[in-house]
Amino acid sequence: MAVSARTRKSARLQRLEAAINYPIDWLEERSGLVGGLRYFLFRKVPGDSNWFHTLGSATLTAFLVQATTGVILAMYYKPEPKTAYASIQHITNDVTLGWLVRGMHKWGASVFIILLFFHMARVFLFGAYKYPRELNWIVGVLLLVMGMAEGFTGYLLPWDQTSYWATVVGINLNGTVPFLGPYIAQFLRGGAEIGPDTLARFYSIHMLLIPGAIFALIGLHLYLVVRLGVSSPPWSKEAAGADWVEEQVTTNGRSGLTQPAARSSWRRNGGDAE
Amino acid sequence: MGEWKIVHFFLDPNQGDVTRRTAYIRYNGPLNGAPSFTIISNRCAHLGCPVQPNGPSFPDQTKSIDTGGGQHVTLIKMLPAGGFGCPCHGGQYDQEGNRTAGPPVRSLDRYEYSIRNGHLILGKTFSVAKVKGSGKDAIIYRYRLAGPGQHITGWEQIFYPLQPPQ
Ligand code: HEM
Ligand code: FES
Repeated sequence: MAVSARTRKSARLQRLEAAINYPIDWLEERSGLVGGLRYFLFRKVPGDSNWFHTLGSATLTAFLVQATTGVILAMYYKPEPKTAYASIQHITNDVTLGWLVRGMHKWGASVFIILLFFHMARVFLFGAYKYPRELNWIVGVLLLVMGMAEGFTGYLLPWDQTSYWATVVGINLNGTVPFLGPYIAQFLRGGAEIGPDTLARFYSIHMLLIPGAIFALIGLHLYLVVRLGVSSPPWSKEAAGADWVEEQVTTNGRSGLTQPAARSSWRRNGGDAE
Repeated sequence: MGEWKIVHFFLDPNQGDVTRRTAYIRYNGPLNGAPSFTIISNRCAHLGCPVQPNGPSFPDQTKSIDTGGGQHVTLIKMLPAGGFGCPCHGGQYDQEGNRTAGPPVRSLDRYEYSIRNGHLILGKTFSVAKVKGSGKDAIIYRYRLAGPGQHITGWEQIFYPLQPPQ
């Protein structure tokens, strides 16, 4: 009969549900990660956010493409003056789809930088850098500097005439910085002259040091985005930001939001003020 | 006498091509009983690109010499009638290495040299503010080696008081 069939089916469904839920609950009980993910995905964003708000995610995607294609390139690239150029010819001409991976990394580098600037322009033109988001602007500036340093160090790696002489000029340009310049140039070269150590050094900075720093800074950047909430566009009628920002404005009876110290929760909880 | 050569050699033959350097050398005739040479570094005094002779070179008149220890020296006859020019940002120099146009901040660097058993031996490089006169009578305003783009005279020299140990 129909009813018993349905009951049997739902019992199976229940067992299936339990089987799926078990590992999720196990994880949640021990880490709170599932709740964290829910919070991240279901947090409030302004109803009138628009396509310009996607530029940050686009930049993140471009970086992840660089990291992925970079790891694949690193499996074939040989950072030695005698082998570097040949290994990149090998990647381009012999390795299966190597031309595609290298092409994505090479053109993707420019896409990444261009998206960085578009994202920054959005934040600037929307006034989204204002209180309480100044710190995130500063993190963004560090990310921009890191991104450009990635471009500078990556450019030497093909080890052809263009990359060699462009790097000579770039290092010497740093050498003209007042007072510290000669030392900066010495550090970048890894000695008095450009040589094998320079290539190894640039490679290490390009694939270990800066990508690590970028990953860490992106983590901080996104933490601040989630904590403070996304700002609404300047023409919006809605208040900007996460609920608690709004609450603090109203409970303090201030509209200007100009005195963060007086409002900071760690002070008020300290007990001496109230 | 007065003939120019493009000279390629290795700073460290064991490390190969990456240490290949180029100097422009002219024999100036004898001076005080010893032969005199003008030896100009090809490193541009703007930001370090390789300056090129403004004039023909004659690759069919090339001499290659193995001087031992892996060192391999190549000499190519050339005629830098218009001095030297830089491909990167258009810096121009006369035959003594003095800047005549473009962004370089001083004259081209030069090599010290000595004569041993009838052979010309290149020594360290040094920086040059300017050269007065020419050939063996030239007066060279010589300074310790500074990086390209760094001023060694004028008020801007206060920006570069120290050089890292080599
Ligand atoms: C912010 C991200 C990055 C940017 C903007 C960037 C930029 C560049 C640029 C401009 C080049 C020269 C490409 C060429 O002319 O062919 C390059 C090469 C290279 N990069 Fe990156 N890169 C990034 C991330 C990474 C990462 C994370 C890795 C490795 C883990 C990596 C590994 C490599 C390798 C192996 C090469 C040499 C291959 C080649 O030149 O085709 N890159 N990169
Ligand atoms: S490097 Fe020679 S003019 Fe700039």
